[in-house]
Amino acid sequence: MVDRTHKEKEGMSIDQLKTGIGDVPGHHGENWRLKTSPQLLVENAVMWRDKPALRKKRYGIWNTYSWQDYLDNVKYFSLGLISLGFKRNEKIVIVGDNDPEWWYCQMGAQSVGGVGVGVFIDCTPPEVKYFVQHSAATFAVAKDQEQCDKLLDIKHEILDVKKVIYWEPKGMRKYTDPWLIDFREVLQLGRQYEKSHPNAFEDMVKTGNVDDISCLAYTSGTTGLPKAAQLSYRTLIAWNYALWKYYPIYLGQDYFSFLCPAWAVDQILGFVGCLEQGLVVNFPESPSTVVEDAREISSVIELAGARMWEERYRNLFTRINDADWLKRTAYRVAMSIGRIYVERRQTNQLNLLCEALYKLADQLAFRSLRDRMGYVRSTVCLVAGAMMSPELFTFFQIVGIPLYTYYGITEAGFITMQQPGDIKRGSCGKVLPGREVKITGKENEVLVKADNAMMFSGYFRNEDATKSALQDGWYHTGDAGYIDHDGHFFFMDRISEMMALADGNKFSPTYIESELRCSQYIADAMVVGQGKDFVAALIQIDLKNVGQWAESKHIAYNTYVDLSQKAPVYELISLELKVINARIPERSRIKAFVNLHKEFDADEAEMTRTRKLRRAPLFEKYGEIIDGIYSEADMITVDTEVKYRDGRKGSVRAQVKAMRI
Amino acid sequence: MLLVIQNLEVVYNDVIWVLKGVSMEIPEKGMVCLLGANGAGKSTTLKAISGVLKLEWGEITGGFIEFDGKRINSLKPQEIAEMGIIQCFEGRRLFKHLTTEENLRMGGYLLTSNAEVRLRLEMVYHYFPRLVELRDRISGYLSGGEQQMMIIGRALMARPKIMLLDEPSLGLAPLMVKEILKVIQKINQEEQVAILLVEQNTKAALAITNYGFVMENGRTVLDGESEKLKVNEDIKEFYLGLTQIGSRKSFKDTKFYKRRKRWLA
Repeated sequence: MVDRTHKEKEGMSIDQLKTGIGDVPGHHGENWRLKTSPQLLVENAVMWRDKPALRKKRYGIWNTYSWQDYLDNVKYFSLGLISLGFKRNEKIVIVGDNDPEWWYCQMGAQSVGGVGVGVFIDCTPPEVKYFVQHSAATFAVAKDQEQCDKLLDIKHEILDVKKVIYWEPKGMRKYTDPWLIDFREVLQLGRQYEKSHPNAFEDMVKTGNVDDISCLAYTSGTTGLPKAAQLSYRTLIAWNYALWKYYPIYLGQDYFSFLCPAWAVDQILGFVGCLEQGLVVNFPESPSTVVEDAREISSVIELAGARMWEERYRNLFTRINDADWLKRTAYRVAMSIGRIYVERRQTNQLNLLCEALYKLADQLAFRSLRDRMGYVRSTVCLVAGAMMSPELFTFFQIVGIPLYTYYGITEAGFITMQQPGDIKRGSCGKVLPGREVKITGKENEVLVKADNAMMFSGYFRNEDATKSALQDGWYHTGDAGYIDHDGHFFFMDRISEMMALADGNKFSPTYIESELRCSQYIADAMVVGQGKDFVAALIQIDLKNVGQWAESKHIAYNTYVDLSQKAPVYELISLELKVINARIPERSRIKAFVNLHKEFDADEAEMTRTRKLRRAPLFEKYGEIIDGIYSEADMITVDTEVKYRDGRKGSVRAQVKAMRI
Repeated sequence: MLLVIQNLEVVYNDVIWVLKGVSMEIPEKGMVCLLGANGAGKSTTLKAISGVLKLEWGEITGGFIEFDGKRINSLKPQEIAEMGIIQCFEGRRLFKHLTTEENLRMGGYLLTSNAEVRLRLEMVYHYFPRLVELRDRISGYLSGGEQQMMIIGRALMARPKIMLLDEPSLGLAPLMVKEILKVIQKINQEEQVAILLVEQNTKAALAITNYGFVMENGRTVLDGESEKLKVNEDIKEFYLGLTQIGSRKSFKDTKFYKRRKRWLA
């Protein structure tokens, strides 16, 4: 059942695929096309017909789909949707990995005037239910058997959903429920529909308005249920404009899509950005091959959360430790040269020798590191500067990855951004044109005002939240921050997450946690101390790196619990904490810690799907441990309930030690 | 501890990295099982202990194995066998042209006096009475179960302190499996021989052992008392084929996706 529009190109190397395109200066320059995504797609298919638009790795080979293929799939899918009863302004929920089909489905729905709602692929059935019910979706797209099973589980509660469309037919042969339908069948329906309604697609796309809502972007919901910010095409285009103004890109360059499309990032870049600029969207073979695939593609831009970068750093560390002696030494020497170079560059004290040495170090070590990590062709990498340790930031600067921090929110896009040549340690850059930032109140709340085009169109079905967030045109971010005399913006923390010790001394747990995660041995941490005498931390060790360290020290271990509770591991972590403490203001230094016996897990509602800690449930769950730390107990016995993704429950009983520094 | 393995790493042919971090402890007279999927490295672990790894171009590149407080990493297989570590290989390796008793006597190669050989033979026949009538039969003509008995008996002849049994139930009838495992348990209890049992039959293995280790991709990922392992959710799903307590999984309902393994102890 090979679809015509799905015709696969013969295996070619990635470099062969790229010849003939690229190096055409930014297609539209200053003339941005203010159009809906489907309108842009139609236009692109005319202009660039056979040029690549999407690329997906299947069985180790990159398959390219041209703009025409892209359009055909979108067209027939949207006509198929219509014949199934999908209407303008209706919502379509999509649960799946990054695949061309994800793009076809959302864009198909958007062509009808519908709205896309992305859901994280690892959501449990009740979580999926929340998104479906809250968005009042009438159609759902589920990647494969696993996702279909989730929807079937909650079928009786989401009766408004008319059909569930799947694109990975493996294992679906025996499913007889007419509620489910294959993606290819929908395309087939679309072709039939076209026969009786010629030009239906083109007319529909024309009626689209750039102010229509394109998608719902759910906030991460660290404190309550996620809210859905409505984003119009105009807003998404305006955000892209802010970005590309500083970082020019070229037609035919590559964008690598690997973060869950439910995140706003792919809505901004993967959909609208790539359509505007004619970038090729590349999809990895599977989530487990992302690292290798990213290396082959080397995305021109990457926008990821701080955690993502921290993970990259820790993985790199593991690999360097596994390398031979020569490579390790080369790395160490190069790092120390790089550090001097970066420091001098910041204070404008570069001299010829220093630059020459750095060039050498770059040739010997950093270039291959960048290659390994997949950044040889990158123009710009962005990190939500909010919570990345300056230490780590410096590391990426040394290695030569063009990493810049920005401050942005789902509701108003990019607000401040670092620009090349104007980087200040710890800052998120200057306020972008068209935006205004005001710091108010004794809590230093950040208020944002921006042109209408750059603001979200309110929360979906939550007038109250919209009203309380938007007052007199000022959006109340709930973040604390300040602007220094040079106009650089510094982010402090979420106001609701700021804590105070018993003596009234305020501290930011998120900041301390980001410093902690900067250690190779610490994967995650939760900092506590609200109303207490001192700050303490619950540490989640990095299994790979601590495991490697243990092996080198001949310490035997089997499980995570086992390793985390070893006395030498406690020693190791306490040494790490001493180093980190030196970077933290004196009164918020960590005085005691516990190595947790399990990793934080989104399945157990300990984190959001975007991997932010959910403090309230964590506080309750680990109450015994926290009490134990402050009551100066040495051994704390904990019973923790574990939830499996299929709803089963188990329990873990462990004894954890508390250690004082 | 009788046998201590720590962070064992094994590489075959200088390129194939099979074991990446195996750690185990087996007490004196312990009865321990080693579970894991195909290719997890169970047999390699046993071969590393008994030293025959070198014959298959394998090499221990990291970690160590201690027996009775002494490092045995670099010892030759015969030296290790002399210390009382006897392995029964997977797939019943026997001298098929020799008779049953001749096979058993080969196991007693290290015994010095004839009296001791006789004593040991008697012990073997005590545990496997069926072998008495088959003592003069050419061993190649024995049934699979009988051969397995003979091989365990042969190992017993060598005065083992620990027996490494690699899938003794392989290819045997269910009744025979039951019988053999029962005898293994008896040998462990009565002869004070520690046993390290590798088994695909997880249920049976957990029933007769006191402690278990689970291996995956060349690492030990979980360990615990057999009683606890039996109720572990991951073991239940991936090894015992149970979904909810008691309910068997049907192959008809097999999914194309796997539940995430957590290995929480």
